[in-house]
Amino acid sequence: MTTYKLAIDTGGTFTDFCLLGNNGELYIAKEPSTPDDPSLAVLEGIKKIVQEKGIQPHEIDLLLHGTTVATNAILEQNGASLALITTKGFKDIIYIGRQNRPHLYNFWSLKPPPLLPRNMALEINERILADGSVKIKLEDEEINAIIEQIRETGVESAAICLLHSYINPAHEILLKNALKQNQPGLSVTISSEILPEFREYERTSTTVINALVKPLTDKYISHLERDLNSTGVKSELFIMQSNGGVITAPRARKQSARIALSGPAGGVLAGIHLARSTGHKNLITADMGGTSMDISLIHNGELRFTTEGAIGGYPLRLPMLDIHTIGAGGGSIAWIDAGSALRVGPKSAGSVPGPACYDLGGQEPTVTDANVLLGRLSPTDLAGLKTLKPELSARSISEKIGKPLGLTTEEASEGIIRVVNASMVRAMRVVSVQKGFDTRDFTLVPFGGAGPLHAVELARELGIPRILLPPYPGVTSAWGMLSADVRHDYSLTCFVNLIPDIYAEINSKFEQLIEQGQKELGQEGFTGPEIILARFMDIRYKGQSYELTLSIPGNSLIEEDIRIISRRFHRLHQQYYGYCRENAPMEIVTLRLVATGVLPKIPSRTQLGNNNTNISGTRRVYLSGSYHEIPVYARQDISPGFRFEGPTVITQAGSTILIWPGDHARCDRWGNIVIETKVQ
Amino acid sequence: MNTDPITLEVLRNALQSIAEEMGVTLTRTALSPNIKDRRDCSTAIYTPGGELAAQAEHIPLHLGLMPTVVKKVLETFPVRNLAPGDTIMINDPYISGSHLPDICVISPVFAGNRLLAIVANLAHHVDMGGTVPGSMSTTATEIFQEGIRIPPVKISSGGRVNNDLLKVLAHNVRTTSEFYGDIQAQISANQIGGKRLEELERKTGTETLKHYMDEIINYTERRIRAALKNIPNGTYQFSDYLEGDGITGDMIKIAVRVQVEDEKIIVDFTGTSPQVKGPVNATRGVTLACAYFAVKAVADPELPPSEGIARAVEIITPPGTLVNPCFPAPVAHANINTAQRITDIVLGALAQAVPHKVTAAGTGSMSNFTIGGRDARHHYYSYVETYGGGQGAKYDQDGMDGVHVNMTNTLNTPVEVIEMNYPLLVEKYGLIPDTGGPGEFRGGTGLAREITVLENATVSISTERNIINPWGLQKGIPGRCARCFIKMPGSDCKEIPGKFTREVPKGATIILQTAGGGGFGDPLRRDPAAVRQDVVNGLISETAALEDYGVVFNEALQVDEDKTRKKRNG
Repeated sequence: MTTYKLAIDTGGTFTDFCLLGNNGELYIAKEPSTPDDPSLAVLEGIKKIVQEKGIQPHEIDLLLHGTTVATNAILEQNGASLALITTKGFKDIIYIGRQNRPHLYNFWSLKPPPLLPRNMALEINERILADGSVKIKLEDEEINAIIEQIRETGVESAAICLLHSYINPAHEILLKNALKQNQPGLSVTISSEILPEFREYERTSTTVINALVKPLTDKYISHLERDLNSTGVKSELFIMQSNGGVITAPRARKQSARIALSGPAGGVLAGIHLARSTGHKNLITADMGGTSMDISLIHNGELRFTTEGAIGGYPLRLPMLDIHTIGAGGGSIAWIDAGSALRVGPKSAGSVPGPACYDLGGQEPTVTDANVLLGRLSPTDLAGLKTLKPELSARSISEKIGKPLGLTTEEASEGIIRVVNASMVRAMRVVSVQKGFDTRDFTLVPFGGAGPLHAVELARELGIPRILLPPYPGVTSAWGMLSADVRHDYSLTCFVNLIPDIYAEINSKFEQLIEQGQKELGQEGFTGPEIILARFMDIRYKGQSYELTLSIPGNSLIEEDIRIISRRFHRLHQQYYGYCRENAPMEIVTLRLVATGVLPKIPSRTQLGNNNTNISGTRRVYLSGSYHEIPVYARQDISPGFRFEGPTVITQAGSTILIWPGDHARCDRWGNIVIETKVQ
Repeated sequence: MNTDPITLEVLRNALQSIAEEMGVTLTRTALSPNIKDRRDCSTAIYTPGGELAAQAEHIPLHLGLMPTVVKKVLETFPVRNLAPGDTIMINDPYISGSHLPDICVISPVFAGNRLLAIVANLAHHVDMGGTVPGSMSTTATEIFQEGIRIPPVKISSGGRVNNDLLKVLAHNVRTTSEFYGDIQAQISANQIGGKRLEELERKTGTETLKHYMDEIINYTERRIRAALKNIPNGTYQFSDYLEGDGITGDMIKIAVRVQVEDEKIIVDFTGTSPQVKGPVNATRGVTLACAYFAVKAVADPELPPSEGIARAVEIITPPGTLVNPCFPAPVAHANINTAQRITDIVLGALAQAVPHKVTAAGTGSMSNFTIGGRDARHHYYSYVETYGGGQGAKYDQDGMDGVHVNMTNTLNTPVEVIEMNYPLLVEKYGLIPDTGGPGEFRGGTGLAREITVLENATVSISTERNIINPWGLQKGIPGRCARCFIKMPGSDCKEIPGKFTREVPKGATIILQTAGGGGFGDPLRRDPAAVRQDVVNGLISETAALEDYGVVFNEALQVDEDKTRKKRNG
């Protein structure tokens, strides 16, 4: 029997679907998103796919879903009604933050609005010290008083973050159990469970975010499960997390903060999938849409993580994919500043009114207008969505940029592209060169509507020798999700010196985490080889404030391992910062365990093009100072093995790629287009 | 060479990116909390002539220091004497413009054997010797008491580090390993900057890169001049006081006369008090930074820092005064207090011209809190932290609560980190109700921190606005003053002055409450719903709501509109 794996990614405008049969057949669909209730688009899309493909809902045996429910609850400030319980004397930690202001010189630039009103921050008399000892015991009267206060406020959700609970969680657990017992309906999040790491503001913020999004996420997922069931989909539901793995629906309903930054994760997974299939293990992925660009780096075929993430200005310190986002996209507006420099962004025309060529009232010249004017984007490239009006681009660019700077409209348009490329290059350097990676060892994977158009110029500027264009750049997130595994992160703050004789202590601490990971994956039905455990340590030179994360051998550590780890830390420090201090003492700050439950993978069958190597037309494109009539290929016509040379344009639904003179391109056997760039 | 507006923006991005990468290297690898946690540091790129072309800013105080220090150092080390692999170090405030803990490290960058650019970074070390841990004595009367002075000297020549020199310096500071670690981080930051500039030069060519560094400076000048046109021409005067120099409580006047003439602005401090005995004298570099800050914030907050600002902003600082002292006056605390007051008065003057572009007075000090001594294992430690307070209100917006204002923006140290690293117990950290100045828009509230020392220690506080409240604007009421207290074991809490250094026994608790920001506009015009919100959130009391804002509540804490109207109409 044929079974299917279905990935569904809810985006701002469209909900994307990728259906993969166990025979390797891949099917793509899009459905307009329904922001008021995102599940409507999900269910409608499934209904259509089932009909169009003539399959039975129960043949879908694996369902993967990326949702923005938690993200939007934070960004739109419509999460649960919430109370926060802190150690007496410290309720303002969440309001003070790190006492810094967001902009040095702009008096009007404010800290993000508080996640909860100050009258909902409650204090309890207890105190644990830095060594975990109890200075003030949490007494029953205190607990009872708080229970009464919480009851009076009538909140749906409570966040508890007490000082030093990462080292001694006893008071948090006591409080949680008491609250749960007295108010079974109350949603409770304690900091020692969601993020047992030191630094109270970041831990409180993460805890509060979880408490804020949990009731809403819980409701969304449980309703979706119910509705899926009634449409006949019997598959278990997995939800995409910020860390690039998925979690089971029940866990997503409890630890909802883990799915809050999952939006761009699917695209990075697509990169991982490409790294595995093509053997190009060092990739930079660049997802450029209308208003922003998400950039990430894959080294040696592995995902890279950060524990310094934030959402809407609030720290969210759960491990998440290291994705750098900048406000540059097709809708970014070009303007001339008071010093007569040509600038692009950060203002964006968005999708309404959008670029001038959309003819929706937008008067400002955008990056898309520059691409249209130069012939890189044709009026019909957004087929099905809208027809573009080049004359409006020309008018806007000429009036707002060309004439004031004394440039022709083409020169002004090229200028707009160069300037926006400069800010994208700067952002790509942040994830690569600034972390000690040499871009010449990398392959660029562009996707999103606008990414492929700029890819060649970005690659050349950064010295990247190769570009890999996946088969469906318009639905990359959903496509990437198909290769996701279940992933749980566990961590433990420990503060021990990195010296050989601590190996036994480390082993026993890791054992705690391993036990937890195995237990939880076991409960989710994973056994034996489906469970993969990977250990990591955050290490720093004693006295530093920032750590580097190192992966650690899989088995129990022996003395020699600690020496090896020390040497690797020096090397990593050297790579990141250009030097190391071989005689300086080091300390371990946090132990981390990543527990992966491997989901079945199906290789997708290569989509054979119709092998029509004829060009589908030509296009007049302005390149380096003059117009050239260059060939255009339709992506669906290109089959594996086909080779061609720039200048060329390739068009496909939702994306256009420009290949420059001197570049060689071919279609590989997985259907990716590989461009060898002429590096300058 | 022609200048095109596109290459200008492309190369400006590239240089800014390099300066920022230098900053990342520095903050991520330094050992002093001041650098790694609070980012009290700056990194920058200069033309071969020492003109500032790009700067990664972490705190505005360096805005005036970074442009001057390199030029001054080049007077001692002319360009022709510099070779690849050279690095110069300096902390002398009478050259660098800052205070002794700020060490500046400067390196030339070559393309072949021709000087391409200069890179530099400035960072606040945890200790530079002197009479007290942290090198920030509140009672020094000569710079010699503030720590070790380093004139411009080469710490490396042709890539070889002068370890003897470093040893001498390290021998004179309390926290030797931090000193070595920080210097290494500073040298590495310059190396990264140099390497990236060389890479950029290979793409653009030497002449193009140098040309556009000059053009970036011209560009900044055009932008600041364009922005100054939006400030009405005229002469605007303002003055305010510092509450003593740490030696005596005598008020110290700072006066300014701001003259706006089309595309130019003159900030003249003539009329300011002569230099004082205590360590609150602001070098000209600090004064420049404050004036630049105020002008930039009012005229064009996004203005990229470069030499171009100096060409449109003329600053007059009579020698021998508080804003341009003569050697050997002590200077350590000017950054903390005097800098904030200078900024206040320039903003106060500009408020007369463009009230909708300034804030009322903010917390008015960086409120420095230092505790040092030896921990249970007899290791020296210095806990140094600066505290924020209330931001002044604006014509259409409340001031932020508990935040650093104006010349600094350093992060706080987490309570858990303080207790992990020092023999200290934090008893409380929070916002203080009723400290924000009432107004149609309310000033931000001050911050309170209470710390108990667990071993005998030396405690030093340096704050301001304990006597003269942060002023409001346009009928806005001033913010509440800062207050400091000490509670010795077994005795009652006692109020102490804003500048205070003494040894305390273990078990003593020190309480620092910073000032709130001034209000903007008549508090009787504040939306009663906003007043109620503040009461509900505990940021103002019901008494203050009634007396300052004329808002009357019923028993359910709803606004009684009739009674409020009557109360407000007097």
